[in-house]
Amino acid sequence: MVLLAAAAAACSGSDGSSDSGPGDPAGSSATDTPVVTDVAFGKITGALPGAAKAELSDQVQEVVDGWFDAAYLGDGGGGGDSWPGFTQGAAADARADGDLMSNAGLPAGTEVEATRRAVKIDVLAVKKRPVGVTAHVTLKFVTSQDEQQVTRIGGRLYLTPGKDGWRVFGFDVTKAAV
Amino acid sequence: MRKRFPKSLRLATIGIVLAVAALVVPNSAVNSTEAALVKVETADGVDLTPDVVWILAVGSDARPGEDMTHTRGDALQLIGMNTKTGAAAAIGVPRDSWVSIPGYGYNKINASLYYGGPKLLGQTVGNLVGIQPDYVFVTRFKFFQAMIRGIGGIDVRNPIAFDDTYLKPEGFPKGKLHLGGYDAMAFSRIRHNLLRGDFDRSANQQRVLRGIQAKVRAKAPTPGFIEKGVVSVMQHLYTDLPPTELFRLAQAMAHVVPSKITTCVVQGGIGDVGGASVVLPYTDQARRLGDEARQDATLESC
Repeated sequence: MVLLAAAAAACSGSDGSSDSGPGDPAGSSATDTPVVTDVAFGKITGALPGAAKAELSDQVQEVVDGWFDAAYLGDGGGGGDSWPGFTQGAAADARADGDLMSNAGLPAGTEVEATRRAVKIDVLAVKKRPVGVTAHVTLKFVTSQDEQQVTRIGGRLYLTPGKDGWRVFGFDVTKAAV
Repeated sequence: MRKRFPKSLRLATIGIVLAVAALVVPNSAVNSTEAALVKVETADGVDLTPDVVWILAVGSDARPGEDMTHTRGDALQLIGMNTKTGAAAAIGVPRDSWVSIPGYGYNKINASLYYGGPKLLGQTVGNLVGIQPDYVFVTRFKFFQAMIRGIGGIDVRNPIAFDDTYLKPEGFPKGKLHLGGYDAMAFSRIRHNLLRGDFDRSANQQRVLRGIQAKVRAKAPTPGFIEKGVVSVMQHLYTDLPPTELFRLAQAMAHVVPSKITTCVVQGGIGDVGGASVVLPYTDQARRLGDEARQDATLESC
């Protein structure tokens, strides 16, 4: 939680971020409460019943959280398991940009803590079923390498449903020190 | 598509943008502590199978009440997208090209839509170029206009002024133009007053395709834009693709890099068959274009 406290101090002003992503409330408080992913819906194109919305929200969050945790917050960032919810081809693309699509560049043993995690979901629904999702994602974290420096991951993941559930088939992601 | 730009180039571009912003933003709006954005890197990619996808885009000349999948194709563009590199290629085929239509003998290539629908047209164009399209999309004038309107119009660079007594009497001037729905349709259809007729028209259709792609790419980050676009395609195009596949294709299209788009038109001589003017396509050139672009959706030369 030391990192969180440092991050709270570092985030006390505007971060200057202008990327249009999920809501980004000013600052994070230094508490012992783990940072959970803030999930919201953006534009829903087509009709989607409430039950399907709730189910979709859970499924997309699971994929996004799986990536956040494996690629940036876990131990093995940049390894073969950093993109568990990605298609094989998308994971290969992500691996080619491993420094950006994960924390592969950090020295072993570096501690990483999230200060903000959010996803806003745009949905394409046909015949009351979701068939495509654009997930606008935000992840902010600090590391034990530099406790004042907040890194922001932002951008879009593209998902479609398949026999193994929702999978990321494409992405457009930025990584920035803010 | 990984490595769309070298990261150094991306950083340089961002640097230029920031530098320009610094010049135009009034001093009072600049807080030095907010200039802490030291580095932004971008990664993107879209996974499709196969990596290079070929689509035959057809503009049907169906009039109201006619089935657009069984009339004559007015515009024929074979489009390839390489999802690994961001490249795209368009090979335009003059609609009056005199070719062999499987099962129907020789006729104008666009007659194959009338005889056998999108599948036969795809096969006929595929035989000419040597690339069988993975998908065939067919639209008609009215629907095409609606789609252009739906994305807010497009910008094209017109190399030479031209007009048409019926479709555009005031004409299109040379230079950069913003085209709404009707004008994009007219720009794609006019041929009589073009120096090289059908060949120049096909090149104009490719300018329109570039404009559409640029608009889609620019607006893709807008929440709901791609999703709304897919619904528009489902309403306005013939396609037997499921919506999930359309969504994936749309995202792939948005990731095409404009500077990596190459285009050519199949050339040919003008002939006369039974009193009708036809194009006798240079089949060697058509096959060479197909061979060049088949694997990577890139045309080195026309």
